[in-house]
Amino acid sequence: MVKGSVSFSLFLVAFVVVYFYYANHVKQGKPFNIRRIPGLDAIAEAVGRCTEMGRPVHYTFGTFTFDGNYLASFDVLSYTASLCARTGTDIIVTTALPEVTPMTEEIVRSAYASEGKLDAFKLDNIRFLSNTQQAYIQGIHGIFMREKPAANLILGSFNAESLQLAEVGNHIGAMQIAGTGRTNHIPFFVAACDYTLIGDELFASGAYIGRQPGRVGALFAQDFGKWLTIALVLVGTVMTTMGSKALSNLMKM
Amino acid sequence: MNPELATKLQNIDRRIIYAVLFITLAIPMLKPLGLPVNITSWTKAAYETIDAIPSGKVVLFTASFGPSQAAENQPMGIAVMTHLIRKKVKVVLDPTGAEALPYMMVYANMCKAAGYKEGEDYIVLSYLAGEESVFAAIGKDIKSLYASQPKSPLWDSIKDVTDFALMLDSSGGPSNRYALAHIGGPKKVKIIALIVGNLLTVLQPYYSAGQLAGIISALSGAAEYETLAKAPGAALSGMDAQSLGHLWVIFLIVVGNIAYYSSKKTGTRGGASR
Amino acid sequence: MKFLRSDLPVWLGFIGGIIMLAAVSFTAKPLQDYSKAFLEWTVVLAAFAMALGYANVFRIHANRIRFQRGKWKLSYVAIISMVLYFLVGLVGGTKSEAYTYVFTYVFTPLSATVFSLNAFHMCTACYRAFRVRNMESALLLIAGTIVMLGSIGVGTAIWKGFAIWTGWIMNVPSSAGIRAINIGAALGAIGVGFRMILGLERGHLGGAE
Repeated sequence: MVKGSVSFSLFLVAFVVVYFYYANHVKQGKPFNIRRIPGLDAIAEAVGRCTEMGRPVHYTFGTFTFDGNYLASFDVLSYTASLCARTGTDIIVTTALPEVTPMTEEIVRSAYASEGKLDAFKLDNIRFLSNTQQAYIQGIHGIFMREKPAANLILGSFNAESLQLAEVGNHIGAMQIAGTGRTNHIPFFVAACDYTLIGDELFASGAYIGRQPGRVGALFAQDFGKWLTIALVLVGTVMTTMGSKALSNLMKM
Repeated sequence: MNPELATKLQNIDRRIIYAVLFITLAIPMLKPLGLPVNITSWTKAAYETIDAIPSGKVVLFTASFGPSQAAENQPMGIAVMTHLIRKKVKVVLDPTGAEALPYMMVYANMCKAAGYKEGEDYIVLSYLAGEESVFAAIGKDIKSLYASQPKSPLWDSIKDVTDFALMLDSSGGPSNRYALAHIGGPKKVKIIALIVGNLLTVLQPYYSAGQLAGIISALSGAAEYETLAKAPGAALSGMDAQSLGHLWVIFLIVVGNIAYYSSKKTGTRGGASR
Repeated sequence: MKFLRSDLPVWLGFIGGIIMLAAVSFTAKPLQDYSKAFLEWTVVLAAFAMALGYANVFRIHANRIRFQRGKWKLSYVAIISMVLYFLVGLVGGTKSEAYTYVFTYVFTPLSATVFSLNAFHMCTACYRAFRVRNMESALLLIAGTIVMLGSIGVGTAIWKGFAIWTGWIMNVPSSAGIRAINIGAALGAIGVGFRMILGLERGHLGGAE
């Protein structure tokens, strides 16, 4: 085996076992608990606000490369689009990656179809702006100034546009829910948005919203990983303080 | 405080804020103030690591920043290149971002102007798309990845990424972490990160853990490096503007909080403007 | 058609993912050779994906012009500038004077101008966000102010302690918090990646689980 990979391989095996155990647990209809995530609960409130004010919802993913944040955000988009279809509220989705645009169209179309409102789906509301960051930012500024969405959902993978999107949304008085796994942009969202999904809260959104067995299984496997990390940190700190390198040597196997 | 004034101070018109900020940034650029620069431990560590490289060794310098980040990354890159050239260290320049090539050419021109010979003392590799895949492939087999690179004495002397005495990665994105994951960790190559300001908190844990040999962060880091390397440039002249800008932001925060507490005491609610 | 759009990508992802994962753990030469080849193919694929991306941009703007959707006249500007710059790079090369001229005097000022708006937006965001409403926001304000002052020469000229406390804040509480968030986000990414490799995640193919 590659030096240093034994601990990682064991962790991966344990992760897979926990995943399937909890996925099966949920499939059998057994109860489970996921703590409240205020940002996700607020989505219904945001859509309701837009319905009352007669203004659209704006949703965007950011300009960073397609990664796991996008996949996690797709679940939230599907949920938001369903709510919008149900309440007759427009949803404007802006994208910066050309390859994400057809995926977005499909997700929103499917959401409208599942609510029986396929005729209300507007292709023009799925807008590819630009794959250049600055043009994308300016495109969203323009949409905000002209169409004044009452809710701004910024969930995905961002570069430096994070602060600008949040500030302009704030300027027009939109209710803002943001979320990303990219840690260097979380402070901007916390400072400028009403709700922020921090780090793996975005990855938990699929399980939280849909409660599907696979997603819940992955969530519990992530929690297992965190508990294991906490245990290793505590035990490792004590052992290292006492002068023992046994644990760190074990991790380097 | 007068409740009306307190409410006004909590909701200062953006245009006033922006106008004053513009003035505080513009004045020092027209008339430099010569404010002192404080040297941080992570920039000092970067300087000492580069200073310890013997003459004739080869360094890999990757860059993935673009025009948006160039105001921060380019001055630090120029300061580092000045230091490397002064120490007669050979450089392999590798643009790992699509927009980084023109900035790498500035470094190449610096080498040429200092009498470096292309192919012997410095080379510029071609840009390859793929981001993390490129770093992973560099870690696995750099020669195979850049198989189409023309032969030259410098390139032929490199067999593996471990032949580099140091890797410098200049970016406004996650490429430093890719370098750590695929080159610094498995291959134990020393890495110094040249980054924009908001990445410092993200990379600080790696520096604290000894995985990064140093960090040069933001315009302030570039100014610190220019001071240490005695190579004054754009960063030092820009720091005056940044200092005054910071002071204006702190002033706004203090004023906003005083007004907030005053309105709380009198029972009126100004609140932050939406 | 369903096989090509849905099943084949899942199988390709599974095979590629399993080989790359196995190569992290096992030293078997065929595995290492395959993973090296996959990495190099990824670099080639990324280049083609870039080309596909630009073709997609072209298609989207061309459709806007064709169906006169939205601000379709601006799509002419987008397409013409895209094609012109592409030709400049193709004919003269990316190190040519013409390419560098357009990059330096058109692209760079436009990018830098829009990016510089961040400074102004940061100013108003700080002014709004740093209000001491409770203990947490007080800590945020104190830490933020210390780090801002510790990062500039004026701050250390006022009091040397700002620099010392800035170093402590960055090395201790900030690092601890970021490490925790990074670990959580990494575990989340492992979960999503694992589900993609096993074909359980199909959001990118237009379908849910």
